[in-house]
Amino acid sequence: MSLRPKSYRQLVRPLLQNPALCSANHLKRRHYSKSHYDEQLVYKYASQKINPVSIGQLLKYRRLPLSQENILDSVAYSQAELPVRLAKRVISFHNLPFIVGTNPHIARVYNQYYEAFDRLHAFAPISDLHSEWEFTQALERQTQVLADVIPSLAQGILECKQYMTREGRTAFINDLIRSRIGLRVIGEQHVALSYQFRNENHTQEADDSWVGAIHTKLLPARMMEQCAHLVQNMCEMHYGTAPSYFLDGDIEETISYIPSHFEYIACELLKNAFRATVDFTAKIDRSAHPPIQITITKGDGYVGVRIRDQGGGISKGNMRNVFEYSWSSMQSSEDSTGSSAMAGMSMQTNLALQQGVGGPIAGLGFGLPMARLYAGYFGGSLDVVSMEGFGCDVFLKLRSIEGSHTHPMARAIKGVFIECEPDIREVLLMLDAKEKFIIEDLDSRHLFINAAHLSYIQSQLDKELESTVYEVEAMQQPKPV
Amino acid sequence: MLRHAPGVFFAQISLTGRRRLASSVAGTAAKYESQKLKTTTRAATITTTSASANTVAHARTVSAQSGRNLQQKFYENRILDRYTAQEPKKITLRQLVLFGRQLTEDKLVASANYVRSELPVRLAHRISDFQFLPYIAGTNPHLKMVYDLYWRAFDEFRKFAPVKTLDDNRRFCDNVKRNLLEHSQVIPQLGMGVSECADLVAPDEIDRFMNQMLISRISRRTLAEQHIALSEQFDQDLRAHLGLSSAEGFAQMASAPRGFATQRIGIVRADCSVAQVVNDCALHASGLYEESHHLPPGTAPQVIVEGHTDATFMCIPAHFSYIIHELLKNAMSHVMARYATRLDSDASALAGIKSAFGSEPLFPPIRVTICSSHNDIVVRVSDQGGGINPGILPYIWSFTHPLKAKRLHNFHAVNRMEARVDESDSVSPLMSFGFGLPMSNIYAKYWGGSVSVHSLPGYGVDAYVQLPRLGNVVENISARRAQVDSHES
Repeated sequence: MSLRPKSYRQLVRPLLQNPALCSANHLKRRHYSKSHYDEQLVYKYASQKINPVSIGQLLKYRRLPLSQENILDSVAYSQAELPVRLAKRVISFHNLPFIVGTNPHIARVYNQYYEAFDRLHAFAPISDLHSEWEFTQALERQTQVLADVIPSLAQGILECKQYMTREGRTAFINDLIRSRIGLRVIGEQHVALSYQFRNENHTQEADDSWVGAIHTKLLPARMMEQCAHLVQNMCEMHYGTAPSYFLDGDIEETISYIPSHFEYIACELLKNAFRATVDFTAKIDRSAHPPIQITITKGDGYVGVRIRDQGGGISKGNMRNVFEYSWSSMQSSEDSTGSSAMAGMSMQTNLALQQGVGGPIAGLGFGLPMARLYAGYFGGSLDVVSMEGFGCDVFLKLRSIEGSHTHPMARAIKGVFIECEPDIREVLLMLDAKEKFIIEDLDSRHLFINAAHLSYIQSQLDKELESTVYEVEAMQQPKPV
Repeated sequence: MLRHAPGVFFAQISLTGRRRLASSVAGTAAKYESQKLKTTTRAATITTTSASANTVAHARTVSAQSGRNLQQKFYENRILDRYTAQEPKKITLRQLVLFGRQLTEDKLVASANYVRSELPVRLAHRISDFQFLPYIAGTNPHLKMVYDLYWRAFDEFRKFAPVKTLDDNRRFCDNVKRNLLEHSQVIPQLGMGVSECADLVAPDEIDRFMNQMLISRISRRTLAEQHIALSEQFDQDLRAHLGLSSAEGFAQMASAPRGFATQRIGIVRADCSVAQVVNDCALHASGLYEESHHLPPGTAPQVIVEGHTDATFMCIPAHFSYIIHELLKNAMSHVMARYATRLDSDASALAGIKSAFGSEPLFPPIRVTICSSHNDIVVRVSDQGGGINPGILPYIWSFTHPLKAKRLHNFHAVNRMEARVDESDSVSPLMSFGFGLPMSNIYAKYWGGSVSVHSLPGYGVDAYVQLPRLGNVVENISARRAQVDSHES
């Protein structure tokens, strides 16, 4: 006798019979351990405000050796930030269309986040090294579990393409990935610090170029060389041939950055370049692959990387799509009918063939948009210029994580946009002098204010206007003689 | 000897300082027309300067009078409304080419009437743009002068009788030429006016205003110049068959094989070779810099052309040359500035000799890559000039910015130059007006292309020009701004 509620089965069966939805053998009936009514806790956490990941916090323990206070301070920060962010991710799944939420891949990711939230929020405030170590262990485990979120998510979103609008899909994935970057940055930083602290105690060696997960003397040239070598091997293995590459520019420069991020971005971009070159060579039947040129440049607090290939470029029509999720130029050539089942199958076989060596070389459709999000997270940027019929130039700019306040990270501030008459604006400016709520004064008719103060302002405005504006009736009342 | 379709602005450049005026943005238009009107270049300069001296003086008195009439004009604006109600009839390059390939008298007359009716409509839209500027900006004397110029041109063209014969056409062409000359001061005037109003009007609005003004100006001049070129070509052909009666003359013209000439229709060239244009612009730009820095020839940064070097496309060579020339100038000036120490006279003299004998060049070369696809041409100009200063980077496409305002004052020097017949001190060709990039962008946008710039800090700049190849894109001009009471969210 099945323990699942009858109504659930009745719901799911017709969906299971729809071939467009199930990727046959991989469908497992998901058994949600949470009922609809256990959500209070998650909502309580999710309703708290989060601050952007502060670079100051990341670089706080630059001066070695790390002390116990440092570690406890770091764990306090993690404890404060992580459950809230995880809760927000969980909530974001609640807002997806029901049909999307029942997709097994999406459901799996949802459960992973929920489990991470459960495990981490349950710790009492930490004040000693022993419980801190337990927390670190739990954190490390959860980080590993959540490492595979992207491929599952990608597959799930692909299968649900027809149930979500493009904007909805893009917004959901952008939020998730941005938040995921933040989660991992905080989590990995703490885990790294924790290990560094314990290693120091044992070995008394101080490697002052690392601050947790941040390498302050990262050599972009060496990193690009390593990534290019790796991708070249992948390409050779997958296609049987691979173009050569060369590096030039300011090869000796260093920056302060998180190596795993840099590596991820570099690999994605190089994968595109290598694949395009090989494909184009076959297409126009040329005798050899033109080499890929990688140029490193250093500006003021920036490192610039330009990757030039002669892979035929991206057609104007496709330029719009390359930063879309779940769109891949590989996919569009194989799958013209748009049937998601077929695409799911072929992608799966594709992915399966490419397991084991640094992930798939292409086809997921997440590489460029994610690389861009990663690049932008600490204030950098990613631009792609296509010369159709010739090749592509990719311009990557990464800002050094220096902790100096002259280079603030891009902050998203939520507020309310107000349009008003100039005289009302004057009144608002006057009120602002007493209690600050104006985030930005845009021009004579527009203001940007803190959302929380909206009702306060409205009541104040009413009061002000009452006192200065006369009722018409009062004027018209005949004066008593 | 440089061979170009008529109208390429630098074809007549020689190496005296006075002529260098032509290569600066402001003088471009003046020289460009003067090429059409003259026999020798020397005469052209003098003609231009004296003509514009007169027109400038004339315009100044006129504007003083019209100040009184301004309020009177308010009620006359209804005439404008009739024209702004019409949309401009946009054309493509292909249409221009197909039209001009087999000219007959009827076609020429039709072309004249098209130009005659289009110019007032397009002028009307731009006059309307002026009228929506903030009052304080409109009263600026420079902007006011352009406004009056436009009004006069508008009046003149709308009152011109329909063209019916070749003689009518010749008169019409003379009229148009005179106007083109008179309006050659528009860019410096706009530049000065805009720089003076930088504090009074939001920069976005100024940029939008300038963009619309300049694109429309290019479109009007293109139509006008194309028609004039076609008329002249027709007249030439006609004269070549003098002695025959008109019917025979036409018959012979129709049957005469055109060969190479059919690729050059008026100011349009159907098979413009990208590599050739780039090489010519490179030669000219190097000459500019070598002369002004007193360097031996061959020392300026070398320009290497790669990629699809045999690519051709349909374009107006004058426009394309302008863009490439600006980009190459920028690249060269940055490279030479970055490696300025190498300009030390002894070193450079030595290097000049060395490079003449083929050893290591003084500066890292500028690489130009040409890519031709089915629909587009992309030209990438890549230099190692150190990149663009991050402080200026957000504003390189803007016509107004505090950093640029200083440069826009340079226009004052230019205007004075044009007015004086005896020019004792010459304007350096390298004087920057801050207009090069935005103007290039406008030339590109006009036919549906674009110019974009990517800066690699500390290393160099990659600039990309993308233009449609087949000439089947419609002009990118817009009607006047929507009226204030139509709610745009």
